[in-house]
Amino acid sequence: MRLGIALLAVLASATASVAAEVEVDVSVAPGLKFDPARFAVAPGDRVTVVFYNGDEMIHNFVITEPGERLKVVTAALELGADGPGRNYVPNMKEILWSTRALNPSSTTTLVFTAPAKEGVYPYVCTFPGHGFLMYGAMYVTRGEMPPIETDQNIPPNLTTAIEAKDGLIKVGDRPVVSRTFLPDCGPAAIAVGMPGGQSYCFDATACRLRYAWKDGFVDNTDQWAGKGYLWGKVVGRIYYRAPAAPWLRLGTRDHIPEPSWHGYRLVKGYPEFLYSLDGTEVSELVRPLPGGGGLEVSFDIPSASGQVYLVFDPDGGAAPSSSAGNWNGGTLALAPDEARHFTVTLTERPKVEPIGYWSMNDALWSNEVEPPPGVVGRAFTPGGGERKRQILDTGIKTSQLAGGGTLMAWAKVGGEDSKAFAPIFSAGRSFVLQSPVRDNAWHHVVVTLPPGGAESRLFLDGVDHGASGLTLPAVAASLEIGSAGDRYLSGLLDEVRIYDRVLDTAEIEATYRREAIQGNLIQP
Amino acid sequence: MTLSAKQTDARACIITLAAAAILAAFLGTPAAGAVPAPNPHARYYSVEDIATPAGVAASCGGLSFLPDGRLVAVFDHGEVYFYEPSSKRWARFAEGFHSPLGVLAISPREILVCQRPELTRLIDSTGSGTADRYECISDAWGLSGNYDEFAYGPVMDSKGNLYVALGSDSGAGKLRYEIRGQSKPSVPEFGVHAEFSGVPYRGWVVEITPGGKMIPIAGGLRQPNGIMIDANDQVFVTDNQGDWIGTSPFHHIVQGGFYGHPGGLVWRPDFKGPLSLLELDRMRRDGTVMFSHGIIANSPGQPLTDTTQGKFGPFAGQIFVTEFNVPRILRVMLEEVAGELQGAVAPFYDGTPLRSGSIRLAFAPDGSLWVGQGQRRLGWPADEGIQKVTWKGEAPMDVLSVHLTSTGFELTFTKPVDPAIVSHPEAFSIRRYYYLYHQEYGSPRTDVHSVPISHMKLSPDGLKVGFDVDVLQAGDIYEFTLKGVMAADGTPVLNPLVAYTANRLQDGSSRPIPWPPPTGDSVGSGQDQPIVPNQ
Repeated sequence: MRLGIALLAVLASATASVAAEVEVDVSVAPGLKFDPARFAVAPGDRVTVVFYNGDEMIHNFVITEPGERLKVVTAALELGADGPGRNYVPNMKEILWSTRALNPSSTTTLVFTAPAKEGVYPYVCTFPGHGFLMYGAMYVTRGEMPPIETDQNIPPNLTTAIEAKDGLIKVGDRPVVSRTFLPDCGPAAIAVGMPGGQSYCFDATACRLRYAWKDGFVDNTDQWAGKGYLWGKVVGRIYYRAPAAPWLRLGTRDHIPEPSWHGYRLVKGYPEFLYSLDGTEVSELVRPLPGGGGLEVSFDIPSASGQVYLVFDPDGGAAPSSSAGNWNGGTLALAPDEARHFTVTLTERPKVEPIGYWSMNDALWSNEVEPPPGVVGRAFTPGGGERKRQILDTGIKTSQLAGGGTLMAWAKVGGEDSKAFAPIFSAGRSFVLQSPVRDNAWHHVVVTLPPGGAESRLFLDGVDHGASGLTLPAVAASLEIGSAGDRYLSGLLDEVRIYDRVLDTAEIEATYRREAIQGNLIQP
Repeated sequence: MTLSAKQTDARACIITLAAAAILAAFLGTPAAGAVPAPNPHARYYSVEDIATPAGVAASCGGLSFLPDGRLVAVFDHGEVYFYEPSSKRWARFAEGFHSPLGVLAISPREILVCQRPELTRLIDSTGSGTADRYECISDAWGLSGNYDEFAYGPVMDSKGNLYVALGSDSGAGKLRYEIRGQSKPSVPEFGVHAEFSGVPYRGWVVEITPGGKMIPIAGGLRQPNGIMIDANDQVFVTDNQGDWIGTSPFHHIVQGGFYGHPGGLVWRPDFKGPLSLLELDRMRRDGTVMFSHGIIANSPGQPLTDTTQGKFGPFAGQIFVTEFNVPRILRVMLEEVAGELQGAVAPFYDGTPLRSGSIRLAFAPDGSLWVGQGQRRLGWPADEGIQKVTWKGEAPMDVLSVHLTSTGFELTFTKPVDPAIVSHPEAFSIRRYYYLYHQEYGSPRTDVHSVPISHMKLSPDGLKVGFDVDVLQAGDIYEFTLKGVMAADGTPVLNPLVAYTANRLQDGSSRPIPWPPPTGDSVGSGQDQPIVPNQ
């Protein structure tokens, strides 16, 4: 597959073979990598490489004769003090083409005619020390490149130049605390895995529980690799997400207190979080429910001077109950003496939360490009920023929706070309949900997928629009968001959810309304 | 994810190959192929590997010794371990830290650890041997999710104040939707694409009082991967060459100082908007000692004073500094000229069996120097683990210190110099140059001149060699290469490369701002060179 190559023009020639004009975008990925790691051109193609260095180190782009990368890299090292003045490019016949050494945030182009002789031509950065790991392969071929998994011409399969060992943390018979970066949380996240498979994420800046999951803990492989460019991953299924507003309120129900983080102490291995809200000290200890199926959260607020409130979402992924206080709808109210010590139990309501949720707040953006706003928080552009498309790996197969499913997303697709292919969801070759509206405005698009071949329905902005005409493929396929193979949606997506149950009209409408109000698309 | 044995071996090969080749380029010696001569440093200092705890990724982010001789070490995946040197046993004390990059052992029951989101106090309240309290001393600095937001330290002064140095943001990193602290937009005039300061106090040194209040001290650092405090409560950091930082410096940190990288200026209360290059150049403090890039150091890490009172050789009171890219440890020799600290730097140890990747140092009570190696901060491969350097009892022949006189220099040696030196001025090959201050990444060695010497004299005890130079230019680095200088007992100088940063002259003059047009060569950066033509 030719990544990132645009066929600009085709030049006919007298012979049967046709030389094309080809543009290849090559950039620098964190951890001393070229992106893409390889590309293919045909012999005689007129190639323009647009090389962009978005890293914070200096890099160049040098193409060598087949098999000569290490010789060139070593010779570049031996330039020593002469290196900088020569762009770290030694004068040798094994080098075919090279760029200058690029400062961070710089672009240059390299134009050449691909050799007539087919082969694998390495490209490499010859800045001292980089070339041992920072290289790729230009395949000059009329055929296909070999499978990437076994390609020996690109760097070993490491997430970055520095791999992580044992990033997948297994929890045994004692709790494990891991401070890391996790999605949908502030940057000071604390992941806690408990015996029995229950885990949760605590936000040490907001001083509150953000979400809880089961059947696994975290995989820090990406976060521990390189300089920590990528984040930890939740392993298992998130069954409970705290609402956007903090749940614990002191004094009055609608006032959000100011948190101040103090740290934690271990109680039989479990972290008891210590913080204050508006200056009042709180300790919070989370434990799994004996017998599984949820959490119990114990609070100690010894100096509460007024009422204490906990505000829950009554339709959320966990049903709350408590050891003290009075319930009014989804809010628990406790008198000061009750608040000295009380326990809240969160019992899982299976499948209420989707099996996949993408807020798009922390998608693949770098600081270079301002992320576009979404309906809630930020949005996702499958077409990428200036540089390249972004690909979301849902990790979800259509077979997981065999018992019923619902696909939900906010989409904003322009009206320039009403016939353009606009995939919101796809799976395999046959299943594509395209955006039904192309008016450059945000719309809530939902498709229900009842089991057993019952009729799938399309909802637009909370309103039932009739049969969708879609059926899940017979052969299990991976669900994609914003793309269908090589083709992708030109537009924005936000608050994407994949449920493994069929949502009813009321719930679809409620979700649409809640987010449309948050996003100022409609009035309350 | 674990690597296959073949991949691990391949990586080990790559690292050894890369480090050896880079060192060779550093030293100007042939890279591969030649049979290596025995390392002359080995006669004076032994270097032994310390096995890191089983099942723990060996990349080490901090070292500190307890008075009872046990070592406290922090590792990249968040573990804190105690090590008993006599039994070689490791015991886990705490875990779960996010990129810990420094540790300060107060007692076996109180350990301070600096991690990405906060400075943490670990307490073992029951004496069980593991920490049961993880108290936040301070999390008052900004955090945006950018991967370069490392926190280095802590060091403690005589009043119990703690100091932490904060890395700037990388232009290639992410700005999260939820951040900690106020966010300020980058200042385009500062050319912030490489590193900048998007949330509070990135690129600053901050002080945390015993009461837990965070006070910003000084800003303008890029990636200060190393902080120390001396016996006079003076704080020093190293910074890393890059945008705005022509070559890596060793800085004396003073209250209110600006150290050159302008991104962090936005957090000063008096910040009113972008400043011109000239204004910035006038504001900034020079590096107390500059480490010439590719010659002395590529990426310095932690500095540390030799407090062993002679157990580690003849350099008591001087400052050792780690180098990351090649197997090297540096030594800094300071003096005061016209009321400011400045001085010289020289390699202290070069070559195997020392490994690359060194970033942290700690002296054990027995006077040995322990070195922590870890690769995370720079995002490219180097060795990892812990090594121990021990003095064998014999002083090497080395430049002990460099003193700037009003007409030249006076070098003090560790042993009397062969008196024949006075008739061999060519034994001191000197060149001088400076590094530009600008937004670009690094700087060439600019206005390079060779420096002829005259009037060489040897002190009666043979320890001091003095000479005049043709030009003393304030602001220049004077780089000495000693050729064939021998001790009176016949031993050659072990580390013949020494560089002195002459920020001030004895008459009080300092570098011209701006520099006049250079009259010598410029060697180094070639960012504006044309593309090498097709072959």
